[in-house]
Amino acid sequence: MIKTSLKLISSIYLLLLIVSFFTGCEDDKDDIAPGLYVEETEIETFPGDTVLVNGTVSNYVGLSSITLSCEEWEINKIYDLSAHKPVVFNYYYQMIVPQTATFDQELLVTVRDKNGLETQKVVALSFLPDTESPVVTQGIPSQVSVDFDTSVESGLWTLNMKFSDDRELKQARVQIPDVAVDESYPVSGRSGSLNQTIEFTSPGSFPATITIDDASGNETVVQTEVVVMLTEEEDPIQDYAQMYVVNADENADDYLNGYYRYMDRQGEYQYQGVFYSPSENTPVYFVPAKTMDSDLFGVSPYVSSKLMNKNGYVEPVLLPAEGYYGIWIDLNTHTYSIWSLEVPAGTYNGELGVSGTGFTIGDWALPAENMNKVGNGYQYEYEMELVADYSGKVQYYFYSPDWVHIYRADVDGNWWYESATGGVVAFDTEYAGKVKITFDTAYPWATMKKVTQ
Amino acid sequence: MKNIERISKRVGLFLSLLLVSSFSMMAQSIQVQGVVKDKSGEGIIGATVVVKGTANGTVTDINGNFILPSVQPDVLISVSFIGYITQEKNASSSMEFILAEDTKSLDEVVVVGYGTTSKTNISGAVSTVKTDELPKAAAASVGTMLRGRSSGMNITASSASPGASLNIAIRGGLSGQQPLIVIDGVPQLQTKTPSSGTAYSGADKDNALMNLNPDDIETINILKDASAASIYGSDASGGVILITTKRGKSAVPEISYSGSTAFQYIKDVPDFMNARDFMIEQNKVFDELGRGNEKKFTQEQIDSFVGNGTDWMKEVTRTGIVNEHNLSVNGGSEKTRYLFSTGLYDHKGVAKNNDMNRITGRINLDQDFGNNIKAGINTSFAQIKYHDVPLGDSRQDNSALIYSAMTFIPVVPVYDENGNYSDNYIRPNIYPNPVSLLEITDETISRDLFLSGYLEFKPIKDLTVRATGGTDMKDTQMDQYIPTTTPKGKNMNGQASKQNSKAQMNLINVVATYKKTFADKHDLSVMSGWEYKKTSWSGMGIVASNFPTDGSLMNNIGTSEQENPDISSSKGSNEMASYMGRINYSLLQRYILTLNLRVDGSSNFSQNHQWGYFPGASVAWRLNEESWLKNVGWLSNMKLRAGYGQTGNAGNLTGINTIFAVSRGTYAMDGGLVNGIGLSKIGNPNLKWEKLTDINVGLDFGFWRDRLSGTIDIYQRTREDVIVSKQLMSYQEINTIDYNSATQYQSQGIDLGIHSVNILSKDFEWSTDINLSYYRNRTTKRDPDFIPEPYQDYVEDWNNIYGYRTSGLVQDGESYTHLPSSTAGAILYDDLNSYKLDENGERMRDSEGRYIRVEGADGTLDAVDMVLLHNSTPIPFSVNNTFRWKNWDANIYLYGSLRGWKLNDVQYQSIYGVQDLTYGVNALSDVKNRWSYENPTGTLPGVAEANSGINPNSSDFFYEKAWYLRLDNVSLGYTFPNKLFGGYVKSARAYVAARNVYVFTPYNGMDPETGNGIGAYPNQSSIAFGLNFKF
Repeated sequence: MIKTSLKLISSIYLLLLIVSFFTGCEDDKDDIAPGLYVEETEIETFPGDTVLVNGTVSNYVGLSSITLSCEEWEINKIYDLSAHKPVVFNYYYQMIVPQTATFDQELLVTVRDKNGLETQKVVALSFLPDTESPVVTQGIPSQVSVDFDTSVESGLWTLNMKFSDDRELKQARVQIPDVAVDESYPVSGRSGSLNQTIEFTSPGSFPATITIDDASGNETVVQTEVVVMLTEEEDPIQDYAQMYVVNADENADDYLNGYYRYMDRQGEYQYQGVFYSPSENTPVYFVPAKTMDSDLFGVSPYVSSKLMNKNGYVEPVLLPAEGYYGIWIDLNTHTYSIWSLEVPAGTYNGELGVSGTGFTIGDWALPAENMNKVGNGYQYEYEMELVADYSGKVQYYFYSPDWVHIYRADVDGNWWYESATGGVVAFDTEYAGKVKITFDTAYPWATMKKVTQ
Repeated sequence: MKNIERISKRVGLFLSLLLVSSFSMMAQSIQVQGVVKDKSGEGIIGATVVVKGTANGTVTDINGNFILPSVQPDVLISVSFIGYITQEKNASSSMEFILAEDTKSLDEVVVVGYGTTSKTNISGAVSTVKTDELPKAAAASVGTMLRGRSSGMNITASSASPGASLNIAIRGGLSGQQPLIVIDGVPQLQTKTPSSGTAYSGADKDNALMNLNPDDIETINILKDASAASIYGSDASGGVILITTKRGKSAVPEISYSGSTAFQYIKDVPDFMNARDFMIEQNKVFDELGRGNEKKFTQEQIDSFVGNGTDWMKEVTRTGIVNEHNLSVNGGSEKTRYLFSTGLYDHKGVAKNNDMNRITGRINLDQDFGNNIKAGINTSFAQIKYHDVPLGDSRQDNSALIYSAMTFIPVVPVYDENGNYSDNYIRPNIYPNPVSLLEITDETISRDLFLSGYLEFKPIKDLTVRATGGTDMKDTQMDQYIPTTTPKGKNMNGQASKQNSKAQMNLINVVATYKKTFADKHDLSVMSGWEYKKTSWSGMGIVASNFPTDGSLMNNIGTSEQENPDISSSKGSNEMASYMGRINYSLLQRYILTLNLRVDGSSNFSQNHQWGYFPGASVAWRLNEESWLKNVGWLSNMKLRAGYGQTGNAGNLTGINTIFAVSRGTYAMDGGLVNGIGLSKIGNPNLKWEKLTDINVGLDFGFWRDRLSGTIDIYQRTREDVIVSKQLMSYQEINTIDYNSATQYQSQGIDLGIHSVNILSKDFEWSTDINLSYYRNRTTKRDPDFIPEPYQDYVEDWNNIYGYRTSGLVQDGESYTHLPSSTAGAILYDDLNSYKLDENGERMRDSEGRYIRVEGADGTLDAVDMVLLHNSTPIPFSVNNTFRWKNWDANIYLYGSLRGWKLNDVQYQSIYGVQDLTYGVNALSDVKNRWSYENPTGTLPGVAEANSGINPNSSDFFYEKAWYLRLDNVSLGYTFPNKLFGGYVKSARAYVAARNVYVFTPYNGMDPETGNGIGAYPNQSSIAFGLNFKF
């Protein structure tokens, strides 16, 4: 009986223990003043400037307000936090310094918690002399070409520039000593532009200098070389159905598939594609068909920004560094642009295998090993052997060993994509022997290259 | 057992002394001295002896003797003991009671499928669970309550969220199928809640047992081996759970009410860093990555920080509340019996906005029409409403509620100064503010109407013909809207989803049963029947985005400006006709034989393989009925059983096995991707039933009048002709086919169940139930084209964990050829083996096609270095203790697993992703113990690990022992004396119960049983208060 009673009491005690365990107690932090962090406690500024006062306030029990005040500048900003009473708050107060502001003032930041405890910090406001030069926001290349029209003995250069200053601009000056041009144009405010047409009456190379001045005497100088020349002869161009980008360092004949990387037509004469640059300064050309013996687009030997069609005359466009690039070309306006691309999030980079028909391992058989990972971790390569006298079309595709990721292409191999269903690339070849197959999962693309040794 | 005897003796002596001491005060009374024996003359220990109508009583000692002092000479002395008929006699100074066995109570009726039999005549592996013994508070599904209650049945929840799905594995779950659930003779339709089709979804729902009000259940019988389950043929490969609901009784109406309220508290939230630690560790990670110039926090900022920052878990969670009310009325006359019940279960989950509400109703009616005809109906209805929150461990803009709450940057408030949700300013517009995710509307309404009726006719005395018809109709509507206040919704300008599914199962069967006892020796029962079942389903859904306003949610989906919304629809059906029969024969209630046969014909197979034959046979020998054991007093039961049986499995086939599917945007034609229709699966006319063959040997035993009783079963189950879907090695669009694989799986195991009545006295009872299961699932044969990995055995256990062995971390100044990308702080994986090469340097293979490995490093870490690390097959067990002291009752229930290995996923994800701290993604506090040049004694990997090119979950580094013992229920109840209510209340009981009180485990992750990894719904502990009344 006694034991039973003890067990009962123990059970009740256990229950109470459980209840107290679940409900628990919070530490009492009521008497700790809020923490206040101000990122800049000394701000140098000037009239008309935009100033940011920011930082973090924090405490245990909940905050009720943050006040930023400076009577002389008529600032009295209150963040009322009483609705949610957060335990942390990041404040960003942006203000424009009054034109009539006097300096060496103090901005008082006060944070108050729900129990009335306060913490304060002072931000010193002082004058900042202007030492910043204007910034060119839309510049001009270091070399520009101007076509010289012999019929009227004239070449026209349209100068378009945009620039800005953190305070006040004053003027823009254009100097071309060889043709006695020295013009100044007044500008004001924080941003301005220059739109001028300058005529050249003879071919030649003319150094030009554009100088932008602000009100405090800071200046920015832009120099360029205007190349005035007889119009470069270009082969006729068409609004092609597609274009291909190719690596000029590689030989098209070495490839059975994938040398010509497809570019989508984006509009009249405009095309966009992706290319992987394996090293610095990778040279690329653009062709409308899968041949290097017809139309071929590169840049003028004289003006590196000018895209034109002249096989044997033009020079390749250079991709400056290793990595993926987006490429956009406009054949009609003779312009192009390239930009660096990141590997898309979630790109598969696990084990990958290749299978297909026309190979010595048997039609659609799976090689014993997966492909080797090379390059940046998203690229794979594997050597296989093509059967001699294969009557059908060579076809291939890629798969992860768990078959979750399957990469296929259209029959011409223009688009590679991940899909469980669909077709595969198919092409005829008389080549037999070893080939190296590569695949890139980041921006899917496959190549098949002859292994000749 | 000696302890039990000693305790009983002491209790008896104590009570005797107590009674003797008061004897002197009762001079006019007599002292009654006596003995209680069974029919063999053995004294019964612990029999209750009371003066009828009083509290004056005692229990018998070890020899069956008792003394009752102070007894009036004209009173009745009543003697009772479990399993025996109570006996009463007039008091005299010397008394002898010979108790007769109560064969009715000993021989309870067990439902075995298409009929019942006596427990004595059971020869298969069948276990019974009485729901009265299950703690019901704060548990919506009877499945949750059944955890650990039957040996050989392992139940795990997919999530700790309200109404989450359960995986019920009977005997290791070798078939890969869930058990067939049969309610009052009609199988329950198994469905799945439709997917939202968006980035977010709640937990998988329990569609099996959730529709059933646990309060409506009378008993649950589990057919564990195929000798018993084969009567359900191809549906029974996962075992069978037979549920019998309560029925009306021929008595005055009885009204029962049970109600409880439970409060739920989050348990074991992983310790993620507070704001200050986050800032410090982020700065350190920048330093460790050589990017110290990118630090986001100055030392002054850290020093001036007060408090812990925003506790996101606190912001998105709350105290859960579960309210439950059940009301039932049962009664009837001699001819008519009825039961009506209704129940309400309302669960406000610990995650805000995560609710579940269930309304159930039931009508069970039985009517006798004369002496030979009986009919009845069983009708139940359940409606469950869920309000889900997004769950899962997706990353970045797909982050769900708990994942976000654990990882969102702690140095921003919930709302910014404009009342908008704060963003992670270090990497804006990527990670959703956890509180913003509470604005996602995700509602599911599921309705289940279950109707069945029977007509029973007795044309002759021993023959019963029963026809049963039933239908189970389920429909589910799921609505979701992701508003623009979340990054995901903002990207899509709002996204709405509406999905619905309907399913119906119609069944009719006719069963004739002949039962007769010949010459008092031969008990014969013959059952024969026919059954037809048709299951059909359909569904449709739409997912659309780009809405002009969030205001309409998903209720005006036509306002979507999306060009091509995702619209889907589906429909299917399958049919099955079956013949079944059973012969149960018992000679002298000593030798028992049961034969089953089920023949199933399914529309899932071609005509050549449409019919499957599933036999079952079992024998039992009740040794205690043999003359040479019958007089052994301490042996009350000894039954040896052996069984063999087959069940089938149609894999996961649904309807026709050649399926056309519409694939979108996956065909390249004329320079662009277009939608199209493709044949995605090839029909296979040679496909046939999977077969599972069971061999079972069991022993039922009982000692000392079943004060100690139990069951032990040893079994082997073999699964052959496994239906798998094979990926064809082809570029063809049709790249999948179902076929019977040569793979063979086998399970061997032992189930043990013990019941002991430790103390049994008038005032105090203590009984204990212990269940233990041990099993081993193995793959014993493979497909011919299967090539094992170098580390893999041709015959291997399921749940093997393979990976690299590790030896701590790479230290400063160390470099390893086999780990070219691993610098100081990365995991030091062991280069243990190498490939065996031939004279040409080519890797050699053995006769099974596997690369041959040889011990010794080769300077490369690859598959050949992986080894068997652990096996995670659980060894489930449970211990249930029930106490009663006078009107008080108590229960302490523990269950767990004696074995387990589990990846500490929270730690692994935090450590492996520690570089994400630089993006403002929070991590577990454990990351403070990572290796760095400043902390060279750190035992967890540093920032270098992510650059090693090796995923640490393929190694032993983050695996931990995960055996556990869960204190699942501690309850205390009090039954009020009837006199308190003046006869208006038949019984009244109040109780308090604590659920999921504590888990003893070496595992440091979230929970060794449920929940895993960052984003898992947190486990809860509950404290419940309840009342039960009967009027």
